[in-house]
Amino acid sequence: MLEDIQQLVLWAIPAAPLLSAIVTALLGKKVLKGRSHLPCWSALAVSFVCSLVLLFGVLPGINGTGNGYARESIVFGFEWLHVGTLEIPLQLRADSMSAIMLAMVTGVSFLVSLFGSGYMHHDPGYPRFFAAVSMFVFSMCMLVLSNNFAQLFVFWEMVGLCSYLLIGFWFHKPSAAAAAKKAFVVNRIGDFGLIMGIFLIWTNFGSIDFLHVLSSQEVISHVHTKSPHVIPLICFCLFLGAMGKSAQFPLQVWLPDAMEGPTPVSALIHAATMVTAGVYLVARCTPLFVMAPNVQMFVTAIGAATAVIAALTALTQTDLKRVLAYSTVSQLGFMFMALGCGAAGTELVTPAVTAGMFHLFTHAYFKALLFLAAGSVMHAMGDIIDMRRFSGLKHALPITHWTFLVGAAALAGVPLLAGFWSKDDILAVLYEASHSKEHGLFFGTILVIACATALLTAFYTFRAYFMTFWGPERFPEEAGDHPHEATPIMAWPLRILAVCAALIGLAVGPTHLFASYLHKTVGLTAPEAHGLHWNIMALSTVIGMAGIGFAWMFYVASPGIPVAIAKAMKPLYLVSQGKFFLDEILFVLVVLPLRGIALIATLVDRFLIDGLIDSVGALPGMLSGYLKRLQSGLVTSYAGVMWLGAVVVVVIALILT
Amino acid sequence: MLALLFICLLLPLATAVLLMLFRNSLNTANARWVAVTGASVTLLLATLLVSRYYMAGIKYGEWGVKIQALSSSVSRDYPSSVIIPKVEYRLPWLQNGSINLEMYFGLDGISSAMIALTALLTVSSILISWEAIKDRAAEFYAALLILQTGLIGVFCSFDLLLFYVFFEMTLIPLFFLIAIWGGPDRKWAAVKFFLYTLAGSLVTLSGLIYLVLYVSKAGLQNPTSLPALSSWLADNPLPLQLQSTLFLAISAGFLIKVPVFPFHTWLPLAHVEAPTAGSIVLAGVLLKLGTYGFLRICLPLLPDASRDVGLPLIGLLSVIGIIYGSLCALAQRDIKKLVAYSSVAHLGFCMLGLFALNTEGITGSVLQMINHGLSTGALFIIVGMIYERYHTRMMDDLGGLATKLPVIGISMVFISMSSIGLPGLNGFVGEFLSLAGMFKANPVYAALGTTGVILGAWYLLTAVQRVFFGSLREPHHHGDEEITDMNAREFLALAPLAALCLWIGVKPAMLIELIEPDVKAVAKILRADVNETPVVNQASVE
Repeated sequence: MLEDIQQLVLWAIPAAPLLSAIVTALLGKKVLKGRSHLPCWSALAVSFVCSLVLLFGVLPGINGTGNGYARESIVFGFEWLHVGTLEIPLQLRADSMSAIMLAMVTGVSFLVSLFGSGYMHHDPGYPRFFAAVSMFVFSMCMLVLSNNFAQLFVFWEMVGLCSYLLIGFWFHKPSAAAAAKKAFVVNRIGDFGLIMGIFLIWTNFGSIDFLHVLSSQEVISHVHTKSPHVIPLICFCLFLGAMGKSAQFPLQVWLPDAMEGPTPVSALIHAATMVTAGVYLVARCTPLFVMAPNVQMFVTAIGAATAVIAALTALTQTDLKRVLAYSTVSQLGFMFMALGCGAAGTELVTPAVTAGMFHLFTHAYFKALLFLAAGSVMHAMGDIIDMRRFSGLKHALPITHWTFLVGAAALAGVPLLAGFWSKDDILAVLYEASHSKEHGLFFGTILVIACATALLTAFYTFRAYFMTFWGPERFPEEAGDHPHEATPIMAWPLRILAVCAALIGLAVGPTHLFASYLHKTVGLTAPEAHGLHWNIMALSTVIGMAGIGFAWMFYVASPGIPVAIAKAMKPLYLVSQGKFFLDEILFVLVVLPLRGIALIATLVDRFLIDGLIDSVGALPGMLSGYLKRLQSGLVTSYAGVMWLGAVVVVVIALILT
Repeated sequence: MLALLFICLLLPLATAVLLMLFRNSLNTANARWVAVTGASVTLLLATLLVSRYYMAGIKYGEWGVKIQALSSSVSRDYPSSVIIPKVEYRLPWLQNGSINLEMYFGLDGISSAMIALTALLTVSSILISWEAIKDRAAEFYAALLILQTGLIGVFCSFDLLLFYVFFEMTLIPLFFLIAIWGGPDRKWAAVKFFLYTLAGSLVTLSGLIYLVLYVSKAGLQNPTSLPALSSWLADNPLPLQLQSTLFLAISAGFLIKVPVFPFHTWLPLAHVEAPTAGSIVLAGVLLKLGTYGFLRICLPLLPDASRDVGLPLIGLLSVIGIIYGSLCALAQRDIKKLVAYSSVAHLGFCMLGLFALNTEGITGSVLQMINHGLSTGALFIIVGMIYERYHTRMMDDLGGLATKLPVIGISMVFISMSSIGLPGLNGFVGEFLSLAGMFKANPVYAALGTTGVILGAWYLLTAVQRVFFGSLREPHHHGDEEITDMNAREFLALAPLAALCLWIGVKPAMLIELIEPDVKAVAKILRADVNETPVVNQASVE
């Protein structure tokens, strides 16, 4: 009985949104029309409640019984594909890590769907929007609930599809269509790595089941001793997949363009949930990554590079959504920075993963909040999001203003807010890693970069805040006479998320609730009851405040400074504004050569290969052209040839005898 | 079941004869109704055939038992055969001393799936030609139906002679389909297609003749029967040298038919010039005769050569084909040509799986044969719909059609996703299994082949973006006819394919159950599955 209820709870989490997606897709246009949000709302509410039941009711109940992997999870499902030795069942499996992810995903999705019904109200694609959002939540839940790498890949691709459909939601806009394709194709580059990783796991472990691959240290060490290069290679391949999905350097180019989608989608998919799938994958595979310290350091290095590059780019962007997009990229970099810290020592593995996952968790709330608030600004400004065209909105849009401020403060790391705790955790783990004997210098450098990035983060976040909400009140003409503040259906999600962004870090961070819940995931150990790092906290407080202070100085107190700096450091300014020219560099280094090769290939195809075939084909024709002249019809020439032939035959006969 | 099989084989031919006899008295409208009736009944029967075959299997539980239960004489007469028709009809026709030839019709899981695919695509191609073919319609449909008989004939032949006869029989109707109802350059395309593939299959024929003479000299009484050959060759393997020579000779025709790089250049030309129906059947089924030939003849009869020559050589060519075909597709401006080159790439996946020579790879390859038939068939249907409306296939002339033709737009996105292997749709299962199989056999080939997954998304989504997204751009169309979205007839042609794409993607187990016993039998003689070390089980025991 109890087991039935547990299973029901687990099934309901993905099943409800799937049902909603099907119903909305089939009936949306004809029947539901303006009510298309109803299936989505109710489904996501069901999912969210079930996730909470799973988080607080089911999982703690089964903890402590059984042994090994079974201790932390419940598993069931059925066979989907079984060919030869390749076995891919469709299973749902929940453990602490997935339960936390699920609660976050369904909670944020529910709020975003509320907001979305207000935001998208007049759009002709209203049913399509909710069908795709439901489909996305279904896929994301299935991804998190996967119990094997192939199923994870299946839903990894499905969330990619939903992202494609939602970025290209306004497909009549050429920029949206291009951004959708770019997102899909760049993600596919990462997927290439993921597929290779899965194949490597399959051929070396003989299975792709999490239970088999991740849970037993003996199995892992057996594979590792047999061929020591395999596990680092697997980890590298998996991380390549994560780089695509989580927009890490140099594959991050798709994420800022993804802002072409409707803003609720940016909040949900391209900030809070889908892009964290890569972080989740790396965290999930911790037992493998600990065997490959070099790859872990690579993860940290890529994370650091991404974080600082994205932060530097965000400094000069004028599109509010793009600032937030780059900040997402940068924060994802922070998460990866933390995840790699296990390389400094095995005792750091658990704190490292905890810090990364904690930042993922808090980031989801405050970044969703920031995006939705930006959406509210966009809604009020008549779809204008260029910060140069409006300012001083704090009186016109009070709710948006306050909620944005909370989100920005959380992102900047203002003490006691959500981002402060998780960023502090990351800095702390980097600080501890920098004390390691082997890689101290490396992690020390990363720590400095992280601190610098944190400063930049606070600065650019408040730059955006001041530019949007402070200064003289200005509206673009698209906004009409007076901009209208968010309707209640949009305002309430903002308020709820603001409360989360403010308090959720304090609630679960310093109380160790998050860490002690998460550590029951396979590969993690019980955390030591380490105290708070007061020195790091002080440092990050100073950094955050300094960033905000600089932003205030530059954009409120004396607005002449940024212009002067931009002038003084023109090349640097241009590099930042041009997004480090990564799009252009990739275009020149990858797209253009491939297009060139493609063109050459068609020419080769047409003239060389086909030409060769045609000339072979023409050969009989040519030969017959010569031969047919012999058929002259003249008896005398035939007689002559006959005579000649007879002579030849006789001569040959003579020679041979 | 046997009766069903023969009706499926002969009904299209009978319909074609009917059409030809009354071609003067039938107008276009009547002709297409006759044709669609014949083809639909065939489809119905073919569906019945597959489901009865499948149910017969299910009834007896394990597939090993099923083979016995379906009362085939193979296990009695040819105990070592790896080609095992579960339903068979053997008709002796030439007995002369030591020679005892028979016509061997049969059915196994792979062939029944291919027969059903053929029947389905024929109905779709008739429906899609409804308005497009006005000129000599009776002859057109007759040619299409004769082609269907030829194709089904190949799939139910378990005898080299029959196989070859049907194999070549398919050339003639398709030649006429291209040469009479094709585009501006149709004559050249038809001649090239005909001569090129014929030249290849003559080399195949010479290889087959040599093989038959060799084994009959060695004492095999019915040297054209595939089960007999397979059984005999399993017991008396040919020397590797001879196997390799024969492998190369017999492969020639199949390599061109598939087509494997660099023998593919007839394909884009034939596709561009062929009428939509011709393209559908050409891509959907005809190309599969090549892969099917490899699977039916080369792999089981010449296993050592398949491993020593086929895997390194054809594996390499397939990898090149995947990348090269994708790059060529990327550079096309004509959307039909793009789809044609995408076929080269997709068939590359198919061959890659086949020459992985293990259960995973070959299963993936057979799935890929069916999947490519469905999704590329559907892509050609959509291209045909656009062409019928705008009389152009140039992507530069078109844009933003999704706003005007939303249903066609959604279908295009759906089918493109199936074609680029999105999980949940059919393409993924075949591609993933093919690549997984090849990864086991040769990781480098598999890794290189997997780059095709990236390129595939690139070229196809670029096409979708250019034709369907962005702002509306239409060429000036003649007349004042209104451009309308997909109509009911077109929907009927496309919907079954799309539904199957979804079904295979969501629940591939049934199709795999259907084909896996036959695949496993072949994989057994290739001995690629043997050397598997269950590493981890040992480890957990320790």
